[in-house]
Order: sequence, then C-alpha cells, then structure tokens
Amino acid sequence: MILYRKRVTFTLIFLIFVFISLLLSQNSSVNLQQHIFLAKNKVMPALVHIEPVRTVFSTGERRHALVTGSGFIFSDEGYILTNHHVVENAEKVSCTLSDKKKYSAKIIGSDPSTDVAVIQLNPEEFKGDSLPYVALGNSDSLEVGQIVLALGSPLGLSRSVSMGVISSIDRYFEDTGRLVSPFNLWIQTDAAINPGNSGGPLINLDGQVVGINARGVFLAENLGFAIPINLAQEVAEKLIGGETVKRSWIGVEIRPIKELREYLGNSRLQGVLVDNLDPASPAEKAGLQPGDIITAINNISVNAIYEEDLPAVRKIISDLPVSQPVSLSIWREGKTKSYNLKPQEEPFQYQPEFECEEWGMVVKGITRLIFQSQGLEDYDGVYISAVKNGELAERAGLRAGDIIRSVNKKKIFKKMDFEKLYNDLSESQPDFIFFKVLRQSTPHFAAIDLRKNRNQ
Amino acid sequence: MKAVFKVFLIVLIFIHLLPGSTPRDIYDKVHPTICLVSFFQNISSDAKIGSFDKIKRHCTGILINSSGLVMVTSEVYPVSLDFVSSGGSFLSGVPTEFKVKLATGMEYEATFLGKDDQARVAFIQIQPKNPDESYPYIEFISTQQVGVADRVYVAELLNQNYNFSVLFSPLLINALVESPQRKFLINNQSTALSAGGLVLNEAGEAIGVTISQVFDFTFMQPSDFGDFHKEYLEIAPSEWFINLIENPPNISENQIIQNAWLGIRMQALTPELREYWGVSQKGGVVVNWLFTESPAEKAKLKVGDVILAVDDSTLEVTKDEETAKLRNIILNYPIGSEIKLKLFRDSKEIYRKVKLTAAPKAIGVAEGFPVPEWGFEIRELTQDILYQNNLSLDTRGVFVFQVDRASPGGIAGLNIGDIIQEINGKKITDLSTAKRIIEEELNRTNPMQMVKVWSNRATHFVFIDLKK
Repeated sequence: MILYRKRVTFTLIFLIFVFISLLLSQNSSVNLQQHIFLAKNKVMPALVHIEPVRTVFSTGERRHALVTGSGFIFSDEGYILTNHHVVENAEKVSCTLSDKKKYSAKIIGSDPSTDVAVIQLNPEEFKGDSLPYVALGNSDSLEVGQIVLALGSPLGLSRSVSMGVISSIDRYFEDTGRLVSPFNLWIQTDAAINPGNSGGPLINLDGQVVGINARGVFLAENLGFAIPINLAQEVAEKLIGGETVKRSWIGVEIRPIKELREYLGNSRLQGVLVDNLDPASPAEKAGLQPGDIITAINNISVNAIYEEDLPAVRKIISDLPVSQPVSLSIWREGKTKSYNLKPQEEPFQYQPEFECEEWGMVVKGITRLIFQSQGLEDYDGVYISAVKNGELAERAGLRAGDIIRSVNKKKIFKKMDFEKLYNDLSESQPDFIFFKVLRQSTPHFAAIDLRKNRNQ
Repeated sequence: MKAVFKVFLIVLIFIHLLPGSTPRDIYDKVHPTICLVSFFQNISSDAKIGSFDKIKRHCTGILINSSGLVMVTSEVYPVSLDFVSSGGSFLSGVPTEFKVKLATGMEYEATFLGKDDQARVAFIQIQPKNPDESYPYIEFISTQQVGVADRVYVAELLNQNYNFSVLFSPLLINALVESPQRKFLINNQSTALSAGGLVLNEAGEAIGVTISQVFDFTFMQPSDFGDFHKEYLEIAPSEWFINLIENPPNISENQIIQNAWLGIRMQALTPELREYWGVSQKGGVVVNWLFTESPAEKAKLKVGDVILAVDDSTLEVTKDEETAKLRNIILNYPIGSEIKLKLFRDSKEIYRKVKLTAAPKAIGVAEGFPVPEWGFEIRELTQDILYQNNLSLDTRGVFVFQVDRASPGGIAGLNIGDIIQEINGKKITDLSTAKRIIEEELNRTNPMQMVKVWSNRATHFVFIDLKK
C-alpha cells in the first residue's frame, strides 16, 4: 500500500513536471508571438503611407506621376523619416496614417547619397490631435541572426508586417555613383522588402526602429537592404536643422590595402590606398599621387584592409569641416610625410531638373556619374537631360547628353548660373541664343534663331 | 552621200550583230572572271591569349588582271588600319589560307595583299601552278554615263546550299546618290552571299561592285519617311577603286594604304549658326577640334573656324551627315599634297595652306605581345587610341588589347582598352620596355603583381594575384 502510494506520488510529480514543462514550452512560443504583437503594436500606428506626386520629364515633356512609398513618424511634431527615392522630385506629398486620417506634408530635406529624407505633416492639419510616433533604436548593437520585422504599406493602403532575421550587418556596395550610399554599410535582412515598402521601418522585437527599408533586389528572393538608423538619425537631425547635408571633398578615390599588403609582403601596413585623384581637387593640388597610402587624417589613424572598411573612411573624410586645414599623413615608398590641404564642398551636388520651357529642354547639374561617363575634365556646365522634339533646342541641334559650357558667350559654372541666365534671356529676348556645348568631350556649337520664332 | 549613209547603216547593223549584246552572251563572257574565294577569318581569342579563333568564310571574287589578281570586298579583313578609316572590331587578325576556285573548277592557293576601307575592296593574288599561266579577267570602265533607269546585270555567287553557283540578275538602277560619295541604289534587293558582286552595264562592261549597306550611327537617323528598314542593293561605281587595280595595297610589304587626313573633328554650319556668325556662303564645315600635331593644327586652324572651300571645291554643308564630303575630298588627295582652305574666321574670309600628311596608324595593325601567364595581350600604344581618349601625344604606356576573363589579369579587373602605365612600380614607356619588364617579372616568384592602369579617364591599381 505504501509502495502503491509512493508510486502514485511519483506519477503525480512526474505528471506535474510534464505539465509545467509543457506550459513553459508553450509559454516561450507565446512569448515570441507576444513580442511580435507588442513590437508591431508599438510601431504600426506611426506607420505612414506616402503618396507623392512626382514631376518627371519624358523626352523633355513635363509629366506628373503618382508614386507610393512608406515612412514613419518619429516625433510629436510630425516629422517622418522615409527614403530620398520615395519623395524625389515630388511636387506635393500626401500621407495616410494607420487610422486612415489623411494629411498633406512638406519635404524638409532629402539626401540622395544616403537615400534618407525627412518630411513633416502639416501642423495646421494635425493641430490638436496627438500623433503616434516611434522610438529609434541603436543600429550599432544589431547582431546577425537577430529577429526583425519589416513594416510598410506596399501596393496600397493596407499595412503589412513581415518577419526575418538580420542576415548581415556589413554589406558593402561598390560606389558606382548611382543611388548607392558610399558612406555606410547596409543591413541585409530576409524580411520581405518590396516596392512600396521603401521608407518603412525595420524594427527589433522591442519595437524600436533599427533601419529604414530601402531596397529589394530585383529578381532575387529574400534579399532586402535597410539603412542603419544611426546614420539616418544623424542625417535627419541635419535636415531638420535646416542644413543640406554638406560633405567635404578632397578628391580621392580610395581602395583597401589587402592586396597591397600581399604585394609588399608587409602584413602590418595600415591605411587606405589612393586609387585616383579628381582633377583640380584639393588632394591633387596638395601633391597627392595615385599609389599613395593615407595612414592618418589629422593624426588619427585610418585603416581599410577590406572593402567593408571603406565607408567608414569615406565618412571621416566627408565629415571634415569645409575650408578648415587638414593634415594627411601619407606613406609613399617607405617614407611617411605630412600633406596639408583644405577640403571643399563637393563639386557634384544633387539638384532637381530645371525646365527651359521656351527652348524645349530640361537640364540638370553635373553629377559624379555624368562626370565619369562623359569623360569631363572639370566640373563646369549643365547637363541636358532631355530635349523636346520639334522645339527650338532640338532644331538648333542640341541633344540630350550635351554639356552646356556657355550661353551667349557667358560661361556656365553651376546650374544656378544657367537658371539665372535663362531667366534673363527670357526677359531680354535677344535675336540669338548661342551655345557652346561639349558632346562626347568635343566642343560643338549650336544657335537658336529667336527671330524666326517670332515670325511664326 | 547616199553611199556614205549606206555604209553607216551597214556598220550600225553590224555593231548590233556583234556578240556580247544578249544577256546570255554577257553571262558567258563574264562567268569565267567570277571566282569563289575561301579563307579563314582570325579573331583574337580571349580563351587562349596570343592565339586566334579561326572561322571559315567564302566570298565572291572578280579576276581583274591576267596574272591572277582577284578583287574582293574589304570585309574579309574587318579592321580599321588608320585613324580616318571606318572599321569593325580591332580584334580581328589578318585573314589567312586564301583559296581561289575558278569557273573551270581549278583551285589555287592565294595570298592576301591588302585592303582599302574607302574603296571598300581588298586584293588577293593567285599563286600560279605554272609560271606562265594566265587567267581570264575583266576590266572596269568609267561610270560617268551611267544613270537612273539604266539596265545593269549583277553577277555574284550563291551560298554553299546552292554549290556557289553564279546568280546573274538583270536589274535597273533605281537611284543615284551623289553625296557624300557617288553610288547607285537598286530597290528591294539584298545580296545573295555578301558584298563584292560584279556589276555590268547593258553592253557587258564592268562598271562597279556591290557593297553592303553601312549606317552611320554618329548621326541621328531621319525618321521622316519611316523607311529605315528598307533594303537597297548598293553599288560602288568603278571610280571608287579603279586606281587601286594598277597598284594594289600590300600589307605583307608593310605598305598599308595610308590616307591623307586633315586632323579635325567637325560639324555642319547650320542655317542658325550661319545667321549668327553672318557667313554669306550657304553652308560650310565648322572646326570643333584639332588633333595634336595634325596638318590642321600645324596650319594654325582654330576651333570655330568655318571651312568654306578646299581648293576649288565649295563646301555647302548644312547637315552633320554631309560633313563626310570634306573627309572624302581630303581622302582623294595624295599624301603630301598642299591644299588651300578658304576659311571664315572673326567675320572675315581668310585662306590657309595645309600640307596633308598620312593619317595615324590604328591599333588594329599595331605590334602585339601576348602574356598568357597573366592572361592578357598588350599592344603598342598608337596615336588613334590617344586621340580617342583625348590624351596628350607624349602619354606613355601600352594598350590592353585582349583579356582572358578567367585569367589572373581578368579576375583582377584588367579590361580591354586599359592603358598600362606601370608594372610593379616600374614605368612602362612603350612596348619594348613592357616586354622586358614583363619577362623579368615572369622570372621572379612574386605571386602578386601591381599594375597601374589608366582607364575611363582615371587611374586604377590592378593587383594580379597569380595564386588565383
């Protein structure tokens, strides 16, 4: 009997143990599910569906296009973080919140080289409402394998959540001058990032934003890329402070030194290798040469052994104050020497296209991509991005791709000069507009005969 | 008087009864002068550096003298030889293993003499089996009398499916184009085999050869008629090449036909520019660019000058496509000629004398050096490459002519068209220095090579890892 009772007690204890362990195991999955719900519920109300009306020029003709994207409110003043490529060239922006309330928004600032933009809901419209907003996390503490959620409003108003893990935190894209940030590494995730998700938040299970979803890969699966929130926050603060994001330019293209170490048989070599120098740049004027190794900037060592180390060095250079003297420690043929130079503002700047309606063409400033592909030797002029069929510019023989160097013998340095000259000439209406352009690095002449136009 | 008239009538009738006037007679007369030419085209191989991929080709040949000189299309060797010639890929080598099969069925070995891209013809020489052998041939006559609506016969060879039989077609000249170069067009025809077919007039006399259509994509194609896709058979009149028959170009003796050049880039004087500058002549050619050390630069021409006339030929050019007129005028002068240019500069007409020199040699015929160990072939840096890249003529280096994609060089990112300036810190001045330095480096055991190149107007370092 005693024996029997003992057995019952034992069985009971065993059953209780099994029950508890079952309960516990259920609890842990409940935990994850609850975490997802909690995180989602924290962020979802601040998720914004953005519909910008964009100006596009198709063969020189001004058109409008409605595009969509995502974003998220990150302050009670109605500031929204999104991608530059979502609000690029937008004439007006309309935002729909999770509760279906619709507001208009204005663009506070946009930075193409990090693909970060800040817009603000119209305070007149949300006056009195308390706006939901998200908490920003720390992207520097992310770990590969960490569970993340990608939120957005792809393909319309309904919100979506997808889950994945951080696949990589140091994804490097070679700087090809396009929409690729040369200043940061990207967060790679397998959470679905689709068109329309762009600008939406990538969040951790605590409901903190760790990245801005920026791009999926066409024809690839489970490859999404997000901009680290720490960088986005830094850019956003500048934009909200009314600054455009100014980056210093010393004119060096750099590459890692891994192969150079092997070539020299020196595995302790530190620094970055200068691959190329931009013409007439501060670095060229200071006497740097391709093949030099920059070992320190203002006596702080820099080092890029692998490609992934390059964005950090580029950022150090771009964050140098403009026009303040900088000393570079240069290693050349075994000797280290110091070179002094003053960084300048980058000669390439993102500027929206400018329409010359009267002449039937659209121009824009010279970007690095144009500079490289056209084989230019300096940074002066404006680029004709489109010429309208049958209009004056086309009849004068101007073509998309030409670089305008002078108009009526006035040299064009920046797009601003051109805009002013265009407006002046529209007013003064001379008989001729005479252009000197560069076409495939060769000078070319063209003239518009406005007298003919008047007689028509 | 009557007797004279009678004699005249008899002579007229006699002339009409002369053989060679019926199409069949013409065919019989011409057939033996058409021959089948076979050869191997050699395309520089990127799989095995320094070797060629050989492709067997056929084309129509025309016997043009009794000692076995054969004229074919210049497409047998699609490489531009000098800066002013239009050419295809520079990766093609000189074609080899020519054979000529006559109408009699006799086949002969033949050698490639050379080509002329302006005339669009190339020449090969039959190797006679007996020293005193002579061959049937045809002579070309002037085409000044030929015009639209004239009947012509075209004799060319069909392809292998038809055993290379002669295709003989009576056709009508449908159009005569004068600019930029005189040629005849026949509507809705495509050649049976390739360019190089013989064109005869109604009397059976040779007046030209067929050429393939070439579109100049430097200019925008007109879309006014939407007829871009129409096919015409183009005929080059005998004047294009008749002088070459006496004195054919000879590559083996290193006498590449060299053409005269002026050394400018140019555009047309549009009506708007003409009004703006106040030029009285209806058109002209505007100088856009002067190549360093070119005849034009030496004669102190300036960017912005308008060329109104060359000697007695007035240039009334108003469209960019017509600027080829100036080029053709210059090409017709022998090297060394002195020409007088009438220019418009700063509202005045001025004259400049220009001594024409030979256009610079092209990379296609430059000396090469394959480096299979590193996976690329380099060539001597020719002036045409420097001109194309707007580089100064004292630029030193060697040209990367071929790269094996999966070789150490290819993996390291070396590209065709790069200019190598330094190898392992040693300056490369020319091909012979490059050869010496590379041979030295090949004897060393350093597994990593550091190559400084100029590509896309920027310097880059290419690290060739021989462990890969």
